[in-house]
Amino acid sequence: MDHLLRLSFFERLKYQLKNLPATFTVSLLLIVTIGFLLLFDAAKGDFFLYTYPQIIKFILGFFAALIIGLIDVRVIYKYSYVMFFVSICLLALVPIVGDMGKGAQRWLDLGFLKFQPSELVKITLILALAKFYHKVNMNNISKFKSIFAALSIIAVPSVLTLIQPDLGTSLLIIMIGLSIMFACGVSKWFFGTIIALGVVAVPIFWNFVMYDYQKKRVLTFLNPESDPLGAGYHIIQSKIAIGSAGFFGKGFMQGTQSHLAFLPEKHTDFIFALLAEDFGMFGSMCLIICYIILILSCVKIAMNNRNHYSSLVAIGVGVCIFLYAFINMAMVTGLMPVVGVPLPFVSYGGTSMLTLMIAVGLVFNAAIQKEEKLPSETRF
Amino acid sequence: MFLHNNNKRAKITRRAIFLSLLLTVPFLSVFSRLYFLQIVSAKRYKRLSDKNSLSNKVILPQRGKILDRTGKIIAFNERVFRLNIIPEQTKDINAVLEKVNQLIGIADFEMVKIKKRIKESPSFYSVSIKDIITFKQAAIIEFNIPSLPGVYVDVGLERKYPFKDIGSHLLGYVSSVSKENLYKYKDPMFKIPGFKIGKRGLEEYLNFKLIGKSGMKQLEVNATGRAVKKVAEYEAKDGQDTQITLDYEIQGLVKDKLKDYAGSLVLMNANNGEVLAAVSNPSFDVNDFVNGINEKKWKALLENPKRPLLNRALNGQYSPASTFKMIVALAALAENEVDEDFKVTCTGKIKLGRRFFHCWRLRGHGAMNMKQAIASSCDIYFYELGKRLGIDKIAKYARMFGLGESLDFELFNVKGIVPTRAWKRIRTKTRWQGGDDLVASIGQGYLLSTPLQMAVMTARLGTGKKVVPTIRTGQNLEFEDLDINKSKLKIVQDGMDMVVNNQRYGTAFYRRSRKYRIWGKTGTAQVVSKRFDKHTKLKDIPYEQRTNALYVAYFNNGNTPLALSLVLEHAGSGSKAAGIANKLLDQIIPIIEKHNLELIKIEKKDS
Repeated sequence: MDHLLRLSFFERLKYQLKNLPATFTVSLLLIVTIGFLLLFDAAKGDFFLYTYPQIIKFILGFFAALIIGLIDVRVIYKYSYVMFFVSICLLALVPIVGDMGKGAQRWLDLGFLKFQPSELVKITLILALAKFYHKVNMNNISKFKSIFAALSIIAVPSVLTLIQPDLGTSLLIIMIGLSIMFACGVSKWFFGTIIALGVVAVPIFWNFVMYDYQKKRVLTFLNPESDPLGAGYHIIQSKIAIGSAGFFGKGFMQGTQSHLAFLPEKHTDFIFALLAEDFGMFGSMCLIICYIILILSCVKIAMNNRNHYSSLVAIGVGVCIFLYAFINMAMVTGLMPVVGVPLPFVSYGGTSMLTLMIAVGLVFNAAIQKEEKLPSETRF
Repeated sequence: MFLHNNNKRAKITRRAIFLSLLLTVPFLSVFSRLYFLQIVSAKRYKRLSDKNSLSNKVILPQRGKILDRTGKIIAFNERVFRLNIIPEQTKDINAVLEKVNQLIGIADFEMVKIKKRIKESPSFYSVSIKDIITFKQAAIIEFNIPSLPGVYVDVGLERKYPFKDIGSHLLGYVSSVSKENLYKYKDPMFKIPGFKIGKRGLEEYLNFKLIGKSGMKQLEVNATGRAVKKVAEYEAKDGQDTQITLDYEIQGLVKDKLKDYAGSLVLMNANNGEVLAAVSNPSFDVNDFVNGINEKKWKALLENPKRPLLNRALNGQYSPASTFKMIVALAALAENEVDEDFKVTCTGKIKLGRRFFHCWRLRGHGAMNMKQAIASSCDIYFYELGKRLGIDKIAKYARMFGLGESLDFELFNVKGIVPTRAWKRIRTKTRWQGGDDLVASIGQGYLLSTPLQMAVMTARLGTGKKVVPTIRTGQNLEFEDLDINKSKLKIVQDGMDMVVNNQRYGTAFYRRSRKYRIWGKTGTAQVVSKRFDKHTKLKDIPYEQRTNALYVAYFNNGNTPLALSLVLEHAGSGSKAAGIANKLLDQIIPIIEKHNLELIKIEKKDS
């Protein structure tokens, strides 16, 4: 950043904002706009019910993202572990002082806002792993020591979320972690072993780790019609809403299943079904394409960046957005059991928007400060 | 260091590209899933979605009216008022109900039921407070409606039969569809609780003409079942008003005349088969059946020894007795066994084997020819004919005149019995005896016929045509000639004429009509094989042992020749029945002439 030091603050700002990733930002804006429309739709034309608060949250989040994007990457790099540690501590606090919600303790009440540390920990995990792999020598990357260390970093938050209990987030954290390990070049053999272990672990998990409500979710997923008014209700109604729409959908605000309240959680987790009902397969595909562009532009930003740390962070954020979007859509269309994962940038809700905008800020950061170099210490 | 760094860079780039390629696979699976849901199975989900959100509300058609031949309404739908409440529109439901109680009164047990119903249904569903309230009560409620939030009066229709117990057997009634029969009907209106269909008689026979077709209001409902908007509406098609051939003025007149008897009268137009009156007494008030008859009334009807529920006109079975003698005479003439001058000398009894068979006139009639024998109803003469003919030949002619078989009538009617040798062998496992021929030839024994059959028999005797009864108007049926020589039929007709109009021989001469020349035949049917001294007074004989009084009559009146049959159970002799019937005809014939003129006027007005 030395070459910029001579410039005034505003000239510097102007220079940096020019580096804002255009494709990334445009696709992001498209996605949130679709989100605003759908929330307006879900509220039956009541702008102030969901849309207005969501717009406010997005604008605040966007400024936060810009600020994060302008923060010197070296500062973020320096405090990566600290932030990870703090978020782990918050996560550990949840079972002690957290609020109960839907049979699981996930929320932490800070007085001015309630939030889920498990959301935050996804971001800090990305930072921590990125910093870790930034420092690891390429030759040692597949060695047991470094793999063990990386797995430990992943294990702490995933175990803490698992005991909340929140199996979905726990798996999400593991997958984000593994993706970063994959991206920085850990041996393919390692991933082969992980998949094999996963297959072995499923029955063990089923019998000893999973709670009844989680098992029930999986069972209802496999056969939702077995319990049409109970646990299967969500997924049956969602499939009906999506399936009845056809290619072009029923039209804006015309969806019968969502507006007649057959479709549950239509402004949060099941908002994708609302989109699919009103705009059909065409509308759903538009949104999916926006997500693909958004995720690919994260990867592109990662490849253009000069330092590994920022590259890995951008990839981590891309994977994170991908996982959110895919799991949500898969669950709403009945490809996966119902786990409480929102549709990123679209579902109504503060915590998810805040977390995601922090992640967006990190991508901005990677794009704006792509020329920055970080000290490379090789400990292993 | 740089090299190593570059190496790492390249690795990350490769892996990143690989990773992004990998990510497309899950997205492709979402794509294909959407394709499967929204394109491949779209129809199925569309149907499920409609099932979810569309609720069809059936609009009921109005049941058609039933009119008699002169246009009198004999079944219609009366407006009834019903009091309902929609619980969600009121804050304090108990206070509102209490107010209603003060205004029109609600019994405590009713109040409990109402509150239970309110608890059990969604708060936006209408709950009935009282199913039927009077117009006055409805007016009181309407006047106070501002202080009764949620309460409203709606108007329903209920089947009413203004003539109550007149013609009730033929008319039948409407009643709720029984659960076992629900599957028979496609129209959704049948599944609505309280929907009524014709259960008996004409209401049942004409049901599908009267009932109409239901309409439908398609409503969009939300997940809790509340209607949000109307999507489509198809109007109901009301049932057709239907006219029948009965004349309720005559029906009422006859009913009044028969009120002291258990019996039946059938009067029909012998030209076109239209049944003008078919009375069965005692009867019941059909209105009692519409909302389910109460137990007390039902029990009374069942326990009444005179069996008011039996439709005697169609389903009462009686020995035709002497009214059958025309058939035997005609059979003997048609089979060329005898001619009209064939004479038998009646000494009051004849011997067959070791048994004596008596004439009703114990001292005998002396020498009789056929017409005289019919007029005086001489049993000995017909014993002789029966002996010559044998039952199987008699049965052939009995069937030709409509006895022994269900008539091709719109409503169910029983067969009666015309015995034959084969019938007896199968039925009683004994041989047909000579004595059976004799008993059958005077219309007793195994023979059974209904008043409707006797009226048809008379119509066929009077016209020589194969008259079939009907109850639907506007058919203008024309009938083919019976396979009977006209001149032979004339002999029997003359005999019937003499029954009423010949002073020397006729059994009904002293009970004849003074205004019209009516032909007829009396009949006195023994119901027990026990003879009473002729001086025994009727009231001294136990009711069940008294003879049935029968009379058939024919009146040739140009356009509307009338055939009548009258059966009075345990009422004494046939001449008594003749007296009642002839007096009735004195009143009926002017009514028919008057109505025929009116009907012609109505037709002219139409054209």
